[in-house]
Amino acid sequence: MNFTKDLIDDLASKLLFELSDEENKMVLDEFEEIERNMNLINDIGDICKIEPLTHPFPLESTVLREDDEVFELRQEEVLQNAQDKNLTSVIVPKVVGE
Amino acid sequence: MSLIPTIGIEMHCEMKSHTKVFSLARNTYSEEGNIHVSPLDIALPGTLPVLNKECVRKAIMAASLLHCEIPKYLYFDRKNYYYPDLPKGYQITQSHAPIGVNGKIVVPKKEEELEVLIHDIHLEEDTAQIEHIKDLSYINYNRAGVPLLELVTEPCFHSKEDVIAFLEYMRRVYQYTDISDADVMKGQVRCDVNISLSEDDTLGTKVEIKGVNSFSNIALVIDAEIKRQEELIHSGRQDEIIQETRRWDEATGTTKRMRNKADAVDYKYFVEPNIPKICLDSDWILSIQKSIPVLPMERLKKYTKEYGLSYVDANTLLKEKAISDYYDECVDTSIDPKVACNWVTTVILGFLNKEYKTISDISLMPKQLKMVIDKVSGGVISSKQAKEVILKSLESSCDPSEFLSDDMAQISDEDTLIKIVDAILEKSENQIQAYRAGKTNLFGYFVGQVMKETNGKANPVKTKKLLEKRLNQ
Repeated sequence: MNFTKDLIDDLASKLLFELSDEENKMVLDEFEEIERNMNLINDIGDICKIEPLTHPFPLESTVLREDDEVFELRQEEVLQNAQDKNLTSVIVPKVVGE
Repeated sequence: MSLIPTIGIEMHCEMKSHTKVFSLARNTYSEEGNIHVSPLDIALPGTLPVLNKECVRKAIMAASLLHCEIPKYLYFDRKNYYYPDLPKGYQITQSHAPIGVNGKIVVPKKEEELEVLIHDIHLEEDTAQIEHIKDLSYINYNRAGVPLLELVTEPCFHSKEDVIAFLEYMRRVYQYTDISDADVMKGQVRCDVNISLSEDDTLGTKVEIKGVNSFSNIALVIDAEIKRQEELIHSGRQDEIIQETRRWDEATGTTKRMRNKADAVDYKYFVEPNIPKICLDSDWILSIQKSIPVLPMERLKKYTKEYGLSYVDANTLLKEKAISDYYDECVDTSIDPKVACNWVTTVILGFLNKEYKTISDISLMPKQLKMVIDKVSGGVISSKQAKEVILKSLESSCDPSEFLSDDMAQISDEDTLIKIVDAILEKSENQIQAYRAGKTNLFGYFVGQVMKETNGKANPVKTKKLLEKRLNQ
């Protein structure tokens, strides 16, 4: 895959932000490094029979959380970092289009 | 040109648990906003998800009753998107290894059966609730992190009736198994509907309608989208049907475009690294499968085939698990199944509906009901008296025996009844002549007179026999 300025701009746009030319170059340089490393993996032959690794450690048993202990924030704690709020809700500009 | 609709459903249902699926906040409905929220639910730095065992247990139960294959390892994925209902910037879901795949379930459709193929069922977290008012959006994080089961069917439906039969049945199954309250009014069930039209059995272009929140709206959505696609095809504008996501616009009764395939959100799924891969113990899965209660479909078969109840009566009993359990207990206490059905569906459910109560609100035990029914079959009291006793017991929450008295005892003794019948006939010379002259509907008059004389205590069967004998002499 070739990482280009346009591709980086498109990805940024899909994540709902814009990059300056300087930022774009910074990301592009980083991606080139990532691509170099990817190519090292691509050079490894005959990997189609190897199951993809999802987790680094093969855990055979994991304790699940019992459904009893409760911890909740107080309502004012939930709302305290919001720029705009009323007594019970966080308020943001309308985020749905017509 | 006849077009065949093909429909697939994604049914999202909020699960029942004490706490949320990955956090320690309560999983409960509340009118007040932002009171059941943990640091994880609002993505405070340093927080990590910890999987709730009860949610996994119920998800395995759901996958099992849908006859799905269950993977050996359980792990989760991140579905990345940016929206205020998702503070982390991603939803924890299962994309690569759902808790169940390749299942099927047989559901009742009126008096027939319908087989529905299940693509997969997976466990995920719900998002926060957003209310849009004028140019602002109000966010409530109570719902963020609530456990959700998403059930995805194959495109195997061809009518709205089949879709609704399936959804109604699944809602009932979730309630029977206590997996979910599946309360549509509280928004606990939401569906996405995929529809395509085709002239033959190949699939047409799929259109998805997202976030439909009631079963009646699903029926409307299906009608409206089929109509829209049919009109485009019949007017030669078939190429305007494109793979896209639409939404239901209740005000106009039509579907509206949200985005097409080219604008589709790239969720960039990858494995959630903060939750370890969990090996599902086969003994645990087996014990969960053994704990699945008898499902409504099996009960329906027992009620109609074994007990001989009508489909309508059986369905009335099956509407709620608690009612069906109560009925089963009545049958277990040796009340005749048809007699028990009659008492439960008419007297008890009639009382509950009138008083806006549920079966758990009443104190009348099946064995108490049996005691009263036995008095009717033993000829001690009439069924009318029994109904009065049961209603008084239901109203007062007292033992029905408190409303039974010796005075209530039915008059079944033949000699006593003969004396009463003869005394009445002696005073009814004109009516007897009219009856014998052909006015046979006067028979009810004679029965009524006997009942009046005995305050309703005369055994009606014996009274009628005696009257027939005397009047036809």
